Amino acid sequence: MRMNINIYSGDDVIVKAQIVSLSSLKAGESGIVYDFKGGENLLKKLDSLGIRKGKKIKKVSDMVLRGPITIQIENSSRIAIGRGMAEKIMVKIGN
Amino acid sequence: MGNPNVGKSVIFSRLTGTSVTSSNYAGTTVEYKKGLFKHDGKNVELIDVPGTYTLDPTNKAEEVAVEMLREGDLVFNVVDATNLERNLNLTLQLLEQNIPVVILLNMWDETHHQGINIDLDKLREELQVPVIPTVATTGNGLKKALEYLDYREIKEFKQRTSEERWVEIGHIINDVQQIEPKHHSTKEIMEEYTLKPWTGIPIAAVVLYLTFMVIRFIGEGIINYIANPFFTGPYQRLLMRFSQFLTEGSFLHDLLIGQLVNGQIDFEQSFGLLTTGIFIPFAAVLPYIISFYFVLSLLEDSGYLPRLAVLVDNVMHKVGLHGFSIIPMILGFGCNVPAALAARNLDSKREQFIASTLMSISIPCMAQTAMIIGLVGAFGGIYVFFVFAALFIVWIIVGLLLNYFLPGYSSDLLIEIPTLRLPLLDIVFKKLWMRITNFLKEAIPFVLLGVLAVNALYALGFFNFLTRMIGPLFSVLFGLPKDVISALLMGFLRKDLAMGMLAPLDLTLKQLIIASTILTVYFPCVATFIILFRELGLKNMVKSASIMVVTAVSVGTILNLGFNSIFTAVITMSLIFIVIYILYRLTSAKYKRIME
Repeated sequence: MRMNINIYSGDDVIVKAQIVSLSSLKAGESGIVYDFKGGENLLKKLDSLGIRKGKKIKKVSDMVLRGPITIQIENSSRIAIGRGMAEKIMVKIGN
Repeated sequence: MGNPNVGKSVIFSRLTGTSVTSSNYAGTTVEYKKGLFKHDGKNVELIDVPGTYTLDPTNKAEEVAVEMLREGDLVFNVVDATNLERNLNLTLQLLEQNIPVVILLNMWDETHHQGINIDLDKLREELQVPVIPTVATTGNGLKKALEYLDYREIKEFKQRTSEERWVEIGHIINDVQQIEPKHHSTKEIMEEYTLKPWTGIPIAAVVLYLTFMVIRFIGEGIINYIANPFFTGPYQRLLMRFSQFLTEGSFLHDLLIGQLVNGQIDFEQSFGLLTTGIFIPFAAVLPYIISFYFVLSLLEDSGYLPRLAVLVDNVMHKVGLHGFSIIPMILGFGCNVPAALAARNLDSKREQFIASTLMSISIPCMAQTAMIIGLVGAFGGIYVFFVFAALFIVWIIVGLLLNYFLPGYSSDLLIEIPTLRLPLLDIVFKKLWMRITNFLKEAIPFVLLGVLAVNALYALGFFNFLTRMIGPLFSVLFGLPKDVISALLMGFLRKDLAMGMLAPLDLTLKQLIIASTILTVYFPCVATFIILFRELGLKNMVKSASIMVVTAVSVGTILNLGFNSIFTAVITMSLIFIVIYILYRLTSAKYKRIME
């Protein structure tokens, strides 16, 4: 899923960004964790591994046949995330 | 205490001298371990607890860690210096508990390589507790840490919400840590290749192939060049002299030497305490235990296993598990006991049940595998492969069935992928030594007891009685001679011994394959049984064991009746694939239903 957002200041677009789920981010692309579409439990699990809003991440790989996604958190660890969970992590890319 | 995979267990074993299993992946320590050592004339008790990311536990192993928190007078919080930010989350939570904490900033040497600068004085100032840089693998800094054993100061910290904690951590990191902008190092690029599908899968294939070849090479090497020459040489000559001394047929001779075959001791068939009872654990099984655990320790410490978890994740989902369960499965090939323990790292009761049951059903431990290689392999290596192929098909079918019938579904994989490290040989050998002594401590009493029991039960006519009672069923369903029952009975004690009991029966190749497969599937050995009982509880243990018995009967019957000729074999194989396909579609449909 991809969706464009524009942030306005008056009539001028000051930021143009895209919000995508981690699963549809391309391998090699970087972004900033923007939001989670899951419950408390998911948030807690991700938080303990250092995945939380505002963190810069890079998608390292995307396993075939709906396998897990591996990300590198900036200045932190490399984490593999199952597809279902990755669909619930929204990432902001672009400017 | 500390996050998983930060070096707690290595520090523990350096300080106490106790060997502790540590590996380069999260979740090696599933229970706490206590160790005693003397410092300044005082006895100190050190507790090694499972790694945890928070004090708000998400699985059983983490619960153990949190429970242990109240036990100690002082907490050594081991922190990964190369990943300070995330580790500090647990540190702050610990400090908020108002208990004395000393921080061991581990992997200190790595920070220099990675261009990370940490201002120690500032960190001490911010946290208001002692911070000691350490390198667990070499033992640097641990002496310094011991100076703080009597540290009991408690700093009052106010309770924070998760969000406030991260804000605080942000401030601390800003103040104490500087990271030189990193360029993408060659090592990192190489590491990423192991995670990308088109390079990762071939790399995994090569790693697994090499693993298998090296295990076989070392195992066979020890058997052919050390164990066999010794047993058939000096040891046999010594025992023959002893046999003449005791005179054949006497009670002691039967007990210690057993039956002579053509006037000679046959280590596989004589079944005396000193002959077969010593031969099975030392000459047949130990060589493979050594080679398997040597290779496994290398794999564990290199940090490769979590990468395997990523690659097999989607296969594991089909049987209701996720990628991480490959670790209990691999451990099971060594011994089912640690594998059943490792299953508690999984996310739910359902996954723990599926993983333990599947592992007990279709993973033969190394003791049994060694005997399968010895007996079935004598006809040709390809037949050993047949046994494993049959077990793999059982694994898939039982897994699909469990996934379909058990309510619920598998959770998603979420694991840290550690950096690849060159295993430290002294730690690998320490670990190997511990696993070998564990095996000997477990195996020898049981094998000797088993040999004793076999002789006693024969003498009492119990086996004859049993054979008459259910023997006919065996020949009809499995095409096996009635005597195999006694082997199955002993398999509960030890599977390698049970395989050994098949040796004198002169089974055909097909019978051997069927018997080996049934022996793997039907029931776990008593040691595994106890662990499963403890981990799963009575009700689930009974459930799991019933599944094993039913599976064993079905598999034995199918192998016997379905593979009479090439014609029936083709039909049976096609039916098996149709069944697998239908089950696969059914479970996929179930998942779709749940997701909607």
